[in-house]
Amino acid sequence: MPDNQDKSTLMEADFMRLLLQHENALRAFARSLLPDWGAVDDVLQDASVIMWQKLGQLEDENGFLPWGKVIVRFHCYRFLEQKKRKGAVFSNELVAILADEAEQISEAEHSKRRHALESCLGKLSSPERELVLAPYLHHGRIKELAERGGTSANALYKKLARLRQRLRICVSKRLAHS
Amino acid sequence: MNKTNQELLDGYFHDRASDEEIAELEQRMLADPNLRQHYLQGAMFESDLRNFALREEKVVTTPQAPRKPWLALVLCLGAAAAVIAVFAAWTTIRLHDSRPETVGKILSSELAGWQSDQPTVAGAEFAPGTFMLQRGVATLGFHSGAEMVLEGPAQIEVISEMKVIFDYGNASFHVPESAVGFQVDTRYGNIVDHGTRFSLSLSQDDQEARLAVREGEIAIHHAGGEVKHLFTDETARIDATQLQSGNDPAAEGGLDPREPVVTLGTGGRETSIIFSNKRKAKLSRDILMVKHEARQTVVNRRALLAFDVSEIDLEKIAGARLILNAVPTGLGLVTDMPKVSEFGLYGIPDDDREQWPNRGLMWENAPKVEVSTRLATFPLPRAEQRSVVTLDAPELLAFLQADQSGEVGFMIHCETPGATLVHGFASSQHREAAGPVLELVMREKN
Repeated sequence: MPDNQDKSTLMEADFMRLLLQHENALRAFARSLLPDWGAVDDVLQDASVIMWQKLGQLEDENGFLPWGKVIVRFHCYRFLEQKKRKGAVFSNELVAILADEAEQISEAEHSKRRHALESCLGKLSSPERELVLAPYLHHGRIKELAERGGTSANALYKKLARLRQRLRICVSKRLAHS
Repeated sequence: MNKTNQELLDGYFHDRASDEEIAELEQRMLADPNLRQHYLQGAMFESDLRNFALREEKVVTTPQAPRKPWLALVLCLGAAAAVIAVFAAWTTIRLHDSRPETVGKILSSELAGWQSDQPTVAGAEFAPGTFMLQRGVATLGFHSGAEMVLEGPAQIEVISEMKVIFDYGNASFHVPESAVGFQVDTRYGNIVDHGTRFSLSLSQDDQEARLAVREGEIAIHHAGGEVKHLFTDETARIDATQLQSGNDPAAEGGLDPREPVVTLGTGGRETSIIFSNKRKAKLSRDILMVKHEARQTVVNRRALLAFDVSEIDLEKIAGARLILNAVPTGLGLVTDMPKVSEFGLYGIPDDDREQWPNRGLMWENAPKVEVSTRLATFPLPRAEQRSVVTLDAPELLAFLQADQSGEVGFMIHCETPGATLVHGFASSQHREAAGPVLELVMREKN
């Protein structure tokens, strides 16, 4: 039945576009509920499969982000239940409050923050930028930079804290002026 | 603790916070909405920085790569393939982190629902372990070259790239030369493949396994010691005591002899009730609604249904099954709910309480749980809003056999207090799912 095939193909294409469009917001949402990036990657992977399977529930694409957040939230809860047996994570009470508040953050707001941060990052020198982004790549990256620059890792961590503070202030100023 | 809020947040986001620091951060956030906002902004800040970092690393290591690796896939491949590639990309990131000893890769996943502690999306590599495929079809490619197409429900334990313990399910195997010697163990014996395509069928309840060789040769080592070789188009059945060559080259299997069953629908004799009696605004004809909220009791709902058994010789009923289709109502939030809610099926007494009207029934006039008989209970996980519920408790059969009025009436009540979600079961008016069905297994034709 060609009509059905067309509809199905359109939905698949829509899903990819919407997932890419809202990936950053969903990732930040998951990060606000989960203790580390490994957990965020795991949960988003599982949640995206469920989103894909349940795409038919979505009535229009404007609802993708809130709908996706509900699915991610459910998977975060499930992950935290398992994680609780192994180590300290936030309580159910706090996670529920954070989830409620994080669900109120619109894509537009997150997008403004992202653009402000990108602009502020652009003001850093290359070595500063490399240092700010180093913690997100792999463990030991700061140590590598310290060895390469003939300084101590401890000194670089202090410098990193100052750079991050500079970035936060820069972002706040940009948002205030926008 | 003397740390500033920002120091605690930085420590938390960079995985350097101690348990005590996490507890301290929690206490401060519970007490301070502004700190929570700051924390949520921090999560966005961290998330964006990580994205920038990963993007730049990509650019440095692969200068020709597109901004997002998936984007090229979306453009080049069909969307479905790209979706799978996205999932695979996430999986691959995880595999790089922690899973060095894989024995194969999931090659395809067709509406597959897995239960496993390993990644199960298409493209994911897997290590030895137990896999339960609840539904759908998946293809597992072993590094040895062997391929297994598995149909759910199925359960297997992967031992190595050359060996699988097959608990139950349907599967087809393709074993190329590189994987000759690939072994499949079942509870009735082991199958050693000598380069072939063959299928294996073993249900959870079956007392035998069925084998069919489409091409090539396999050796079956029966648990009793007998060894038999099967060749192209040959079939066999293995059970606990024997190994028999079959005569079913088409490998269709056989239909089970059908038991004499009478199937009854409600014929529209069904309704829901709501405590507030706001029927028009809160109830629907196509869904039987059930809800038990501890705080807002005015929105509590129960479902009633009845079957006409006046034409049935009740003495000849040997077994009874009530089948319900759980369906989502779209009302309330799944995420508010306990993981599993327990429901009770109640038999309505055989008197004038059974004479409830199909329309306009008020809560106070409806049969009460307190004076009805609980016949069965069943769980529904919140994560599974669509499922088939089959109830066949002996109490149900006894209730039917004791009927005097020619109609048997039931009530569904949620036993687990929950929050906003309204549970639903398809009524006979539902557009997609079948309404309630009462199946009566008769001793002889009625």
